[in-house]
Amino acid sequence: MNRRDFLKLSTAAAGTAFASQIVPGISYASKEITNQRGPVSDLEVKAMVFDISYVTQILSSPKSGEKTRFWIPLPKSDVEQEITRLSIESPVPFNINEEPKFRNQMVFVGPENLKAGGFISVAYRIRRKTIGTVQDRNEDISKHSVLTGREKADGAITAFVKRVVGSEREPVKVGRRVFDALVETLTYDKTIPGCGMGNSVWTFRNKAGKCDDFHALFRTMMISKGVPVKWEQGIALSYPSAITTSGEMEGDCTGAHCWVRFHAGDGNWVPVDVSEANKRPEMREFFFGNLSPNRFKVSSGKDLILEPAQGGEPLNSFPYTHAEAGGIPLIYGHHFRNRIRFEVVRIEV
Amino acid sequence: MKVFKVFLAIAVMISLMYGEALGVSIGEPPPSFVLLNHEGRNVDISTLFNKPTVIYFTHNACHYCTQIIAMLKRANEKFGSEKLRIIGINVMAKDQKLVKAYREELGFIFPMFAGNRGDLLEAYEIYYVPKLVFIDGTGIVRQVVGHYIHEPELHENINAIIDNRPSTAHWNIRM
Repeated sequence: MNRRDFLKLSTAAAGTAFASQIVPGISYASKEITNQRGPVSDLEVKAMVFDISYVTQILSSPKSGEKTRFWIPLPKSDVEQEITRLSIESPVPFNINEEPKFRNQMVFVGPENLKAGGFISVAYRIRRKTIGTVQDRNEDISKHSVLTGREKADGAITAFVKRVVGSEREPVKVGRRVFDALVETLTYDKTIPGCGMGNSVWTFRNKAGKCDDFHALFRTMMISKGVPVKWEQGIALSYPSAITTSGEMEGDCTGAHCWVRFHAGDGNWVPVDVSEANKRPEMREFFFGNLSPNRFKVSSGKDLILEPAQGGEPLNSFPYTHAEAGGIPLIYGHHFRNRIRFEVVRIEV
Repeated sequence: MKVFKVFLAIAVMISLMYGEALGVSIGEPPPSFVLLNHEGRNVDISTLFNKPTVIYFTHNACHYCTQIIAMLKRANEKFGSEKLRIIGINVMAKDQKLVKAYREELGFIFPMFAGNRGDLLEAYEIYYVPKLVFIDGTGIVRQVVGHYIHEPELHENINAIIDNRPSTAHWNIRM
């Protein structure tokens, strides 16, 4: 089989495969929007089903002449979401890999000399549920008990936590107090450009931030009280009440979303979305202990080492394609870009 | 007198603890660091502030940052390197390799430094990129602009640091 042959991976099979050089594009034959009752209440939606087409486009080759490597996050099926109809197209061989620490899954391509104009396309259908606490007794909580990156508890944060939490030690009550305090203290600031860097000291000092900042601060405060917090990285679409049947967005950090789960004991992981609770006050109660279905998880954990290991630093998070040449990260918008197309298949109420 | 000395000592301690962390301030000298440059040499960047200087903070994941480079090159041609110094700091880079590759890939003709350091990010309040810091010929920060900048605004800010006067650009986003 040469590289011009066509082979399309239609299931989540691991291993190396070849794929076509055709321009990717997923056509959706059917659209089964089942909720025809008029405007949807975001709180009554039980699940959403999307068709996702995630495309990494090669814009230019590195001047160094080094071969490039691409790692594209690949969502996994679990109790929260079901992935079906997986289809991957690549002009060169690829692997589906899983890194050992957080068990994140990814499509790995390279090392290859990919030409400008080439595409790697990953398409799947995803059914994402409204989900609350999940139990996973096998999860190693020590992985989620360490501050990473710019997460740091300075004197001001420590004093704030002490005041808010007091002598409370029960994880759910600690979580609720920190959640409420942050929702009331912070402001979601849309004017902050680009990606938040998850700097807890700055976020607390400025009382503002984006989802990375809110949840880095939540992690900082909870971990400082001995409660493990798991980072979950995903992509958010519009709420059911506002979503269009299809759309497209840039796959860079500006479209990513994150949330966290804290460990309440006995393998119970309670989800919280502090930034959405701040943006949607009417859903504040919901977002302590629940996640809305207009999102899907692509990876979890922080300080990530991919499979195979990337040459650069551990990744703070892994929402989108990571690309390198010679161990040096490529430049987004210069060497490559990502586009995400979605189509709403079904909204279940 | 003893009380005054204790008060003074506490004030100095607080200043040392928080002075740099408060970040870059308009009307003050910029924080100074010794940073690794694209040639692999450690440079005290304060030695570069002996003429009007623009510091450009960038990151490899930042698409918009790459578009500013063309504006900086045009500004360099317009104002001349005798009057204006431009330097870059890549806040993703911890070593020479990445800054060297970034310069070569994007034709960034100015000195560039590895800036993935917590103390530097804190001091310059880099919580997003791009960010531009405008320093006048006396080594005083005149303007800090985050995210989008338009060319007339860039030129006005540069004129201001060359003339040692406040900028009249209206669309600065100080964050």
